[in-house]
Amino acid sequence: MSKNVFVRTPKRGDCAVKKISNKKRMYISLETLDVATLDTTAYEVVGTVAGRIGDKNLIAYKNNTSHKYINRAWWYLSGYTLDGTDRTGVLSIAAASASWGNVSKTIAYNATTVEDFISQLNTFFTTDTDCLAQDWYANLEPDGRVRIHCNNISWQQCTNNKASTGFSLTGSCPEIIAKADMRRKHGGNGGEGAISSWKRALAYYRNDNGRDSYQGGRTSTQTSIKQGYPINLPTWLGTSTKNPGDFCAALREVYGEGEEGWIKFMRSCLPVVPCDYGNMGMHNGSERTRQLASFTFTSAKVTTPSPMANAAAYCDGISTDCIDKGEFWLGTTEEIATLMRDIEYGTNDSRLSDPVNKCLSIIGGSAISNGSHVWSCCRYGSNSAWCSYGDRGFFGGYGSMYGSYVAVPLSLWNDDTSLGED
Amino acid sequence: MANEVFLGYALFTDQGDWTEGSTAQTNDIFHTADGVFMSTIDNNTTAPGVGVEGWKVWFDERAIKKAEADRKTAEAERERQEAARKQAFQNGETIRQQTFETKESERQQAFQNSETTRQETFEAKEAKRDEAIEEVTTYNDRLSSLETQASSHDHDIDAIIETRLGAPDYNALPLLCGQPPILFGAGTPQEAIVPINWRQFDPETGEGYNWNGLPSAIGQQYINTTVDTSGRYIAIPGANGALSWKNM
Repeated sequence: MSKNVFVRTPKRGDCAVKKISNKKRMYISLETLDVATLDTTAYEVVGTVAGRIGDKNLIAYKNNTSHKYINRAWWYLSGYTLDGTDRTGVLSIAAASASWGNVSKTIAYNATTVEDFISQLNTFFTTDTDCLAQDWYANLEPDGRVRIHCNNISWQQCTNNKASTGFSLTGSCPEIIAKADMRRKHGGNGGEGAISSWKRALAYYRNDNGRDSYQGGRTSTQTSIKQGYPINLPTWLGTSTKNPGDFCAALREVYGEGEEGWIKFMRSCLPVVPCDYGNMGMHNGSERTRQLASFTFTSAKVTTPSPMANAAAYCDGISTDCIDKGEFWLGTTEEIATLMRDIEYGTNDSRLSDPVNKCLSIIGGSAISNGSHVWSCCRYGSNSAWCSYGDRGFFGGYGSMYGSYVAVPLSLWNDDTSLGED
Repeated sequence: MANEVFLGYALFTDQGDWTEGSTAQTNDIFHTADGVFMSTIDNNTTAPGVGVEGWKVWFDERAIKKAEADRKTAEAERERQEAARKQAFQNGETIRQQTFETKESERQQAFQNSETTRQETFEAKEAKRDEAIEEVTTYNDRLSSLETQASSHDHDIDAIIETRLGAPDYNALPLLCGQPPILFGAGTPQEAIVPINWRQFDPETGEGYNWNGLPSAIGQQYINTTVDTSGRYIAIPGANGALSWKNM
């Protein structure tokens, strides 16, 4: 068989390369891929085709690593008075010393300039034990706003931190808009629970996991097909020992009896892709990734400007002789759904079990497992972002933004219609 | 004193070599080149010799000397013959060597000529073989190139069939987020009234998704077929990714 055959229209698992001389995007069919005989002085191996979105090919970069979605949370402080008199303002922050309950911090200041006010804020932050533990810091933004920020290490910080008496505080990371809607095929909208990894969801929900709805358990009669979370098979069949009872008879009338009917029901829990509604309405992760990656900080402990959204910064920062910075990004839920849809590695031990991982294995890249939590660039709520949840195979909205989950750099490439030409 | 030689009771005196002027007495022995002679008379002044009166041959050395001379002559002849033999042998060897060298040279030349011919023939055949190999290689390269192109085309065709064609819907406009861009329903947009051309979720195939009254695509249109006016709705984006129907 011929080796390293270049193709115009790639399929899932085909290898994405770039011609070094002119950075032309090209594809090599997976069936013929032979890295040992590929002229690496002429071509740079970039990654693999992870699927197709519209008329473009979704490219997964060959490497991926784990990062926090937001490693440094920020707020904008207002309400202070710069009249040169003694003033106080109160910040109520979640602190480890209070088991992440809120602790009020009364900050005294006397300033006539915002710079002086910030200096006094930082003096307080570096002398207060709770604030020092979280490396609280204040800086003046180019637009004149006072930004305060800290290490994001517990979900309570982004949700519960607030100001009172003399200060006002925005929500955490206010520029990053949250959406908690995802339409399923069964017609239901709402938050987490739509299946992101088919293989992982089937593997998990086949078991009698527990009573909670996210575990697939039900404790009352179900009549609506618009289930937020999938139902586990024993509960579906009425044979669960964790939540005894037959609660799904009405659903079985719609989808059919036995495991076959359960499979049909599980298909209804897939998200609608493509869709303009809810989170799936964000169709290209590059803009959100650049936005996230643009946030940087310094502090009392970090003197070199560093990213505040590491997962996005990692993807945005992918750069080689052939790859320009910003060419890759942290995917939207739509892009993650396309990526994770047919991933089998994870529920299957072999990296050769699905085309994407087979290609990544051949080119020496990182595996993508359906057992891993995989970040999207989409924020879910005050302290969470959308991820493909590796334990249960659904789009989870409770992936706390400080969790180190897998960030897979993605890009969208056209077909190589000019195959053979430069 | 001359040497006295007793031969029985007879006394002979060996006078040595005869020289001119010598006088021999009876029983004197004189030596000459021809031998040893005894004088038979006194006051013999004649030179001794075989058959010379007054002398008796005691020892005729002529035969010995002749034999010696003959021997020497023969020896000389032998040596001459030996030399001649050697020369003849040498000559023969020379001729043999020359003949051998000539024949060897001729043989080598003939061999060289044969080798040259063989080599030329071999090289000619090699050249033809190389030409044939090159031709086969060229055809193989062309064939490989064709196979590569065919593989590429097959792949492209498969990809197009897999990703582009899907389940063609020849009776409708191109789909918008998997649904017809213009929906027709017997009433205002609501969950209870499923548009007649909406592609509901098919549990068997997994295709489509259920109507819930809300738009799924920006710009999607809904026509209320039960009214003549104000029955047109267009999906517009709202806050936080929400879509809603705007009545036109």
